[in-house]
Amino acid sequence: MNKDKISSQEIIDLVATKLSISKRVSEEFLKNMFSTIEEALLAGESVKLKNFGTFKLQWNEPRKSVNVNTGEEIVLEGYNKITFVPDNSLKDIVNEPFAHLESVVLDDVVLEKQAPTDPLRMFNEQALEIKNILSEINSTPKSKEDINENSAELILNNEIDPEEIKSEIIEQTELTDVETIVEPVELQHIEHDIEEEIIINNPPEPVENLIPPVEIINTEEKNTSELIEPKILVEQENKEANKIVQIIQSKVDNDDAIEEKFRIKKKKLFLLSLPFLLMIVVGLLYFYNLPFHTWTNKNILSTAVNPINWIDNSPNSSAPPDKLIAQIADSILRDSSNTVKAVDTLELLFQNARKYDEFITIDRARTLNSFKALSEKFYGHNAFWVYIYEANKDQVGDTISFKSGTLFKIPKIHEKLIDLNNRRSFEMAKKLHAILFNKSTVSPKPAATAAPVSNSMKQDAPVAVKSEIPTPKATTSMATITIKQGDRLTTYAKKYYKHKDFWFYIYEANKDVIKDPDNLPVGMAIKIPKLDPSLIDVNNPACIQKARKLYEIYVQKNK
Amino acid sequence: MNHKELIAKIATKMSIPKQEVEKLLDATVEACTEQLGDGKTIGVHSFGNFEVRKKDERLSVHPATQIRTLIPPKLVVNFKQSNILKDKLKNLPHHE
Repeated sequence: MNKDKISSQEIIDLVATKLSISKRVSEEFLKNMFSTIEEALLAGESVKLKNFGTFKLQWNEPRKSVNVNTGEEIVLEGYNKITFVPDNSLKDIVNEPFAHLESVVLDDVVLEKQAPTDPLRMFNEQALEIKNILSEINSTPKSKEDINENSAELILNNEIDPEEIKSEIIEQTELTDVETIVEPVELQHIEHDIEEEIIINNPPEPVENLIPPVEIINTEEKNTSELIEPKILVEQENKEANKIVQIIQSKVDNDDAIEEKFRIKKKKLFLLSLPFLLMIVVGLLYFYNLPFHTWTNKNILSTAVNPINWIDNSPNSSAPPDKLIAQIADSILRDSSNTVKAVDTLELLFQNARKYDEFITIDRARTLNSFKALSEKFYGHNAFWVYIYEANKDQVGDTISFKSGTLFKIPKIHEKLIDLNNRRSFEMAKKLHAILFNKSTVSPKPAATAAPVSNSMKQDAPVAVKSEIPTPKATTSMATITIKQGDRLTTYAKKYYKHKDFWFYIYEANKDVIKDPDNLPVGMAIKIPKLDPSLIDVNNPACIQKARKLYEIYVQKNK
Repeated sequence: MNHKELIAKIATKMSIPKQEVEKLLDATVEACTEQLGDGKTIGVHSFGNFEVRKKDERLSVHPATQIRTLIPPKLVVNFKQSNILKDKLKNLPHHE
């Protein structure tokens, strides 16, 4: 960008030459024009100039500020300011060097990622919630179950108890019997001992006396034995009564136990069915999620396949395990047939679809690198430039570089082939690249050499001529004109093609004569080429853009 | 004041037909546009300067969606009023 400033004088000169009027008139006009604008603005009006812009009076509010040197707060007074908002056409013209740039969204990927995770997260949360609830439900019956089990154990103990008790009682009674048997003997012994002692103690006593004590002893013996025996009987009776009570109690306990057993069974059934229900619910939930989907599929399929194999194998038991594995492998392969199919379609497309019947547009390219740029522009990635190359192979041939401004078709490619998210489509492009460039004898390296640009466009004309594409460099000319003072190519473009952006075509047609399109010598005769109407369609922005691009290429070349 | 009103006013001021004024005005606008398109600065005495400024590329973040977008550099026309006009504007009563 050159920063040279021009004064109103130059504008006056330009206007004067343009309209072929005297400078005095144009000067007067310019002065009047700006003075009227000024007056209108001072009157508080906004002034709109067609194709140029709008002048407006803007009131800036007073604001507080701080004096940098003293630190004092000062109030900047409000003031009026004239603002100028350029018209869209002026904006476009001024921004022409950067018009091809477009704003790039940097992280729309994040947004895309967020969207699918939301339902998943929701599912997970729901699943977690359900799990929690179920675990709560599980935990409470478990404690109950524990209690029940304890009671059951108790009951079982009770069940066992009566028999044990019986045996114990029998043992006890036997023991007591034995004891009762033993005890009197002991007692007798003791009494005998006493007797003997008595006898020993009383040796001088007469024999007569000897007999009665024995009798006494006997009576005593009898008494004691009699005394002991009823006691034992009472004990036995008591024990028997206890036994009966215990038996009755155990029977009652048994009845209770049976009832409780049923309850436990019911609860156990419920508890058993709960996990299954849980499994089903969770399975249903995850069935609609992709990762689990495949996982469950695999599992289901493997499990589904196995029994069949077993059934198959059961009659011929001699089938080796290798066969089984092979069968399973086959079945798994069949499972993954979906992905295989997808690959097939891509390959089919790769093999068949490259006929290039449809085209998006035509564009201009200088080197194979430009192809890459075009590919990035139209397909979203430069890796697919090979398709453009292939579509224009007849035109390009084996050369890496071609004459500037040659028009190329941008073929319409099936979206699957240029799927940015599919790695295979890139692989395909690479494959195509390998096929194309291994065949060609030159084996060009596209990035290696820049194109030497030939200056004469007329030589390009036959190369660029195509049946479907409008030819910008037709030799027939619409008119021949002589350049007047102040004329520019844009003025002619506007006059003949209804839009000034097509001026480059005129320049192209007269390239051999015109040296500098910005500075036309007065009196020079130039041809106005007859152009295909589809190329200079004013209503089609692509045409205008193309014309501008041509100019850009020209500018780059001259740099 | 729009284009037509401006033409009418200039026509009465200069006492020349409107068609003439329109021609002149169109030519002037076109000349100015071309010069600006070439990146030149136009200085109009006692009115102001029209200059082309380059706005550098910048990163904009959408406040609601947090989408970051790279805005490419661009050239814009900027008008700066001259000091003479500024002084004149100072005398204007504050409206609104």
